[in-house]
Amino acid sequence: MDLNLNLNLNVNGRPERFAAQPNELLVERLRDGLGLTGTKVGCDTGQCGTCVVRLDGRSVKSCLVLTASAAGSEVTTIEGVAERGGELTGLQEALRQEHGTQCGFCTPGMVMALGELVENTAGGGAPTEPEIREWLTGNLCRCTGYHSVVRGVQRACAPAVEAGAAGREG
Amino acid sequence: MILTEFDYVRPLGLDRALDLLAGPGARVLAGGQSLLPGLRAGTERAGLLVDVRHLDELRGISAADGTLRIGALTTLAELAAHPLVRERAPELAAAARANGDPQVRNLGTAGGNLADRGRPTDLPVAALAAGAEVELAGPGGRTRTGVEEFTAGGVPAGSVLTALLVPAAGPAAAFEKAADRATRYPLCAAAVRITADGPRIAVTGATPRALRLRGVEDRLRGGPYTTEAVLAAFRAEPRELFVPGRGTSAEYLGHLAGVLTARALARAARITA
Ligand code: FES
Ligand code: FES
Repeated sequence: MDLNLNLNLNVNGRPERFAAQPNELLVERLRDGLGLTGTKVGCDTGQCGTCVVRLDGRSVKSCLVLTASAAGSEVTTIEGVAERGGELTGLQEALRQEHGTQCGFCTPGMVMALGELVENTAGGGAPTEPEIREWLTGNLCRCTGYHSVVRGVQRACAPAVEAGAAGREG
Repeated sequence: MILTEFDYVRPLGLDRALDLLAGPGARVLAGGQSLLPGLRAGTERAGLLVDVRHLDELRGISAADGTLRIGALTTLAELAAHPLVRERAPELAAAARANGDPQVRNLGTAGGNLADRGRPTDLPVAALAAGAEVELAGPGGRTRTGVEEFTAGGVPAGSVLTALLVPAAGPAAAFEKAADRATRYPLCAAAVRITADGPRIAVTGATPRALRLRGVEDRLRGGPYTTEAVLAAFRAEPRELFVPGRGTSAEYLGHLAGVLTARALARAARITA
């Protein structure tokens, strides 16, 4: 039996066509098939969140999605968030300023997950600290201790107070 | 990486999906948030995955004649945030919110959570406390089954869970959970709904499966729902009801179930008052 499926996927605004096995995971297509290695694999069991991408706008774990089931959808990876060589997004810049990244392994997944939270609350008031912490349930970080990540999100959601917060030490 | 091999089909309608599911080894794939880890771990098997995630006929939340109809593909995130669900079935919205993490809630579905035969999940207790029914589509057409019967038997082979039907209530309902730290699965979860006939109480995690505890309900009918009264009502249950494991004793789990139920009742009763 030939199990290859002919699929298409829009990744970071680019249409991609390829053949894949039915048991291929989206994270395998992104990393191994398309060379987008910004998306990481930390656990392969759906618990660490380093593989988070946006699927039709929603943050999902790409190790918990079959490529075949994602076919026809729009995927955004960390490579598609800011223009290559261009400026960081507000969220990325705020995480950088608040030291919300150390070794950086969890950071692509964090940015992809938190991007949805920041967009959801844009214009509707900043998320509270408990909301930010709850939103991070699916992202494990072994370095930062999370406080600096939380501050980064708060900074990203409150540009108005940035001037006042800028002088604070991390 | 999933090492086991299977075939994959995305049917264009429910009828075609049911035809495919009649074949040997065919399984429904919806959100995939427990099926895919299960296939990877080898605890689940499939010869063919019938992907229903794109079937619009299994979507949507509506209210009619005092009943909420929740399409099986409603994601846990949608369920947790939906104004009708939050207002009329708050225990269900809270259970959906307590599930996994935001990314799992973005793909995980109400139907998948209810149909999961692996580890205990959060929605079945809420559906039990709410006195809900499930709608199933099978080769013989559509049927309705009470959630109590459904949680005992699961989805019949060859059928698809199409919707959850929840009697709309006031806000006097609540859900409480003690989550396993690493997996977010419930160590124990309890849901309650206070009705004119007394409280409806369901527990999972501590028990072999999600169960309505009629003995506890009877002992608490008429109130008051003080912590002492609730704990005593749980102590009167047979010890075999609580299944030890994961480093816990039956005594601990029975106590935990009582504490969570007492909290849920206190919250629900406060809202009614
Ligand atoms: S690699 Fe996907 S959650 Fe860890
Ligand atoms: S910065 Fe190292 S794991 Fe998060």
